[in-house]
Amino acid sequence: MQIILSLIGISWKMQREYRANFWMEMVFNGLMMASDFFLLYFVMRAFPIIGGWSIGEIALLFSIMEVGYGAYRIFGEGVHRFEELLLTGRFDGLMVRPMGLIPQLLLQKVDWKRMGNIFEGFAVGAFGLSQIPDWDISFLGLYVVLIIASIIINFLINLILAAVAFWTIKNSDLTVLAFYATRTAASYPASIYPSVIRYLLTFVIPLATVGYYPMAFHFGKTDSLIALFAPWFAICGLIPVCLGIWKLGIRRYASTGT
Amino acid sequence: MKEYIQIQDLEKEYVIYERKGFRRVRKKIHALQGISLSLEKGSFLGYIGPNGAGKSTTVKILTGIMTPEHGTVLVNGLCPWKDRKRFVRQIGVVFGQKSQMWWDLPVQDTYQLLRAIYRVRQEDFRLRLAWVREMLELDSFFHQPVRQLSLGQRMRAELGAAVLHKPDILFLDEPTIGLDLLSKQRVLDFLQQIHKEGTTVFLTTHDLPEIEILCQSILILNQGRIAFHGSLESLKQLIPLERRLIATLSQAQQEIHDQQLIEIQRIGATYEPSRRQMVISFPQGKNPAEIIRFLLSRFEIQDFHIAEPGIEEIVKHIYLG
Repeated sequence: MQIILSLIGISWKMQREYRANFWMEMVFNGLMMASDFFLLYFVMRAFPIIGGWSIGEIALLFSIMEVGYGAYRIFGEGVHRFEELLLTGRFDGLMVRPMGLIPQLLLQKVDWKRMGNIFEGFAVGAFGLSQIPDWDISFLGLYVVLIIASIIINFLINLILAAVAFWTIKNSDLTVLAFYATRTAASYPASIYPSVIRYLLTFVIPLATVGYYPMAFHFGKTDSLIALFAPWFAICGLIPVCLGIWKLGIRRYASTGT
Repeated sequence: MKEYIQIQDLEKEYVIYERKGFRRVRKKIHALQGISLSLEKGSFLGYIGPNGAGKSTTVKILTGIMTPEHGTVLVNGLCPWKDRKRFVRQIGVVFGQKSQMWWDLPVQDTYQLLRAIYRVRQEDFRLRLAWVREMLELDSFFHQPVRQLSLGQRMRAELGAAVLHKPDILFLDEPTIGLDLLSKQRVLDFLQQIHKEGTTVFLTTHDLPEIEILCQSILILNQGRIAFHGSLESLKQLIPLERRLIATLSQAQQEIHDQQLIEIQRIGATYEPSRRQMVISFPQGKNPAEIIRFLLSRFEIQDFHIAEPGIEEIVKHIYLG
């Protein structure tokens, strides 16, 4: 839509004005995330196989989660800081505009420094590819598709967490609890976790469905086709939950007005 | 003939939880207890009331943000909360204390984004923007990020943003709060202009002089109910407060003897030595000529004037029931 292009253009112009700051932020962001991976790398030098997965395979898992999250955060500022919108009352300002509320959340800001996450994610992915003996175009295709699924799932989960703020006002603690740890956890093969955690990562906060299961299928660790299509099951399950909670939240807001 | 804005039996309750000792007690607040009102297109309504009277609640309901427990609202045939997206196309809203602009971007960019959101045609927008920039004197900071603006500048920018799409109705919730005199004046002038164009204006404010200057009709809300709705004139007639004659003694009269003091008290006046002023109250309708004649005969008067009861006094009267 024209509005999105407008915002992107405008925001990019702004970033170019603070050029040094922009590049620095981007690099810093990327390095922050990469440090997680560096740690893993050195661990895996000592333990080449973790949970049946090699360093290259894990790198690809990591990459899918990382790029997905980074891409979500580019437009996800409104969702990420939703609690602030409610607290300051600025959400009312969104309600008096002739545009859908969720689309407006996506328009709040374009956070270009998240490109740092994306580049770094791809870098780790490239490293992973270099460690995998045989891969072809179809694998690359799968990789791209999974990244798209990862972006969608990141968005849906965070939107649900944001909607909780309609009832609790402050949701930042919940987000930290429910999302940051799980996101990190999903960057590693779920097979290393006890079944409770695996269950959580598959059915409750289904981040494992965009990386672990499809990758497991591709690398021959499982024969189940369900694993390959897991992300789409998760997305189809999440969308109605997400929209449902959001609508209930709006109704509550319209009734009590925070 | 159908009125432009029709509000019928509006009721709104909140449930809040209070702490009583160690327990949380559920308490119902009746923010609005049956509001009915109709407004013609093109009118300028001043909406006032003490804090907690239900003003913000009303505005939120009228703009579709909140849904009432009971009652109907029709604005130009639409229900604000039922047809939200269609309805808000024709309104502009300015919240005095909450910004609606993109914080990090220049004013110019917020305006561009709004143009896209409200789908204003390029040519219409160009003309409108030029007019707004001139009327509100936005040029000096038009390219600065909103977060760098002073309050006065920001309010002017918000006002401009609210009218870019030529809304039929403009809702303002305390737009001049915290503004310096000059900014306030610009805002008020602008509102007058907008009103002259035919926009219906709904202004919530605590600033009573503002109301006197701008509004045709006034609505006073108190404890969720309408305490008064009508013109400024009829408000003044409703509560016939007294007028005051204030006479300043000339320098020639150095002091007031006791005898004169007694006389002053006898006619029911008060004397303020530091200002050398005498103040006499008298009811509306009474001709002050008699009082003036008396004063002139007894004292050396340098100057006098008559003060009308301020709208503040009248309103205070109503707030107190």
